[in-house]
Amino acid sequence: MHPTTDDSSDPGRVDSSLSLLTRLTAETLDPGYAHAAARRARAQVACPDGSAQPHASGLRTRSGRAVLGPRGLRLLGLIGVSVLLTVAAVHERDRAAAVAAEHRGLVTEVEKRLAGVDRLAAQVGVVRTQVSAQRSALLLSSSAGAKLSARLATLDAVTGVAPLHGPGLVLTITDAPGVDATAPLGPRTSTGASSSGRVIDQDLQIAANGLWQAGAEAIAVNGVRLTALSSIRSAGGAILVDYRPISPPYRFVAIADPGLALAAYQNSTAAGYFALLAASYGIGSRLITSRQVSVPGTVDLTLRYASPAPTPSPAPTGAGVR
Amino acid sequence: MIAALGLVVGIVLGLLLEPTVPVWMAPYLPIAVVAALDAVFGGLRALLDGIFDDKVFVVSFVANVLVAALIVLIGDQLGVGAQLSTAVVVVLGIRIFANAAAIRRHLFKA
Repeated sequence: MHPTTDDSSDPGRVDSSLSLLTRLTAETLDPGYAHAAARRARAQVACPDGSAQPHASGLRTRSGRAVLGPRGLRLLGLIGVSVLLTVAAVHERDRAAAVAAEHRGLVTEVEKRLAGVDRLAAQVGVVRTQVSAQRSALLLSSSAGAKLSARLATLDAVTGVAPLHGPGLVLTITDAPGVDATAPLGPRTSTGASSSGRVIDQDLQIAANGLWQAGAEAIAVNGVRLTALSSIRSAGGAILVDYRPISPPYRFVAIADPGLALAAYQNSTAAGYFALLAASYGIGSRLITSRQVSVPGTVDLTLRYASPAPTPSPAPTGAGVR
Repeated sequence: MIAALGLVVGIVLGLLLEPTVPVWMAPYLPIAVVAALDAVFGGLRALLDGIFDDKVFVVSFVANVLVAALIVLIGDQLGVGAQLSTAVVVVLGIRIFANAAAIRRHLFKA
């Protein structure tokens, strides 16, 4: 290849620091073409008849014997280009299919596992009912046991172990119509954001607290009982209640005195909050009273750190934190 | 004529043989494609400029593909593979765009 002559530009050029960018945009054609053209022109001048030094290029040995003519070379090059492009296209298509298959497999796996969790939860409920039935049958044989049995029943109801039914309220909260339900959940930023019409975990926390405040004795959301140990939080695009994903519409069932609780809820900050959400983002919330609602018992009521204090509880020693 | 023949033969070869791309080579395939496109657009422009040369075309194609893949390979070894891929794509992208513009000027005189 000939040394390029236009490399050594005038040292006094103002834009010499930009020469890389300038060259990048100015010399877009491979300089080899220009050199080859110049070489052909020179050869043409040397032998005008073009017989001794054929101007056409091609692979040739040092002695000048042609190994591959220019047409063969061009054919080879174009075959190479199109093989490369085809292989890349096929590879890309296969890869997309593989990724889609993997995604489908994961979705199936998640659904299977969730169904398994549901099945096991139902089993836990059944077994727990059997245990409590047998326990009360045993306890009812003595008067002290009968007292204990009544106390246990109350505790089961209060702590959320026992399924309960009674009159109450049903609060349904829905995403704004036409909202992108796949966007990850996050704090609301502005009314213009596409995900701002989605119900977030904080909304459900406020709704649950509003219902407790209104006098609810037991609450379940989408079939998950809320207890003293429950959590409502979000991960990615889903709201998790006790680490179980739930999807809209969110349906709170609360057992309470319907009339009193309805009035109390409507005066609470939660009602004002949802009125604001409806006006600003189109999030729907509907509260109705019902004569008969039921909530399931909780599945997970394992204390990991707390243990009952020994009775009678010791007098405070004063050594604690003041 | 011979160009169309070459393209068709290449596509048929690529589809019939269906060569599986080795896993280690897969990351360099997109870069190689961009480099190949650069060579193709360069050759097309040279053809319209009347200075096309078969040898330059083939050599530039092979060298472009190899050098682009090599740059990214070295970048991967050094931990700057993504940045070097970006650099290669930017440089080749500018060239492809400028050559396409030149081809457009040739074809439409505008």
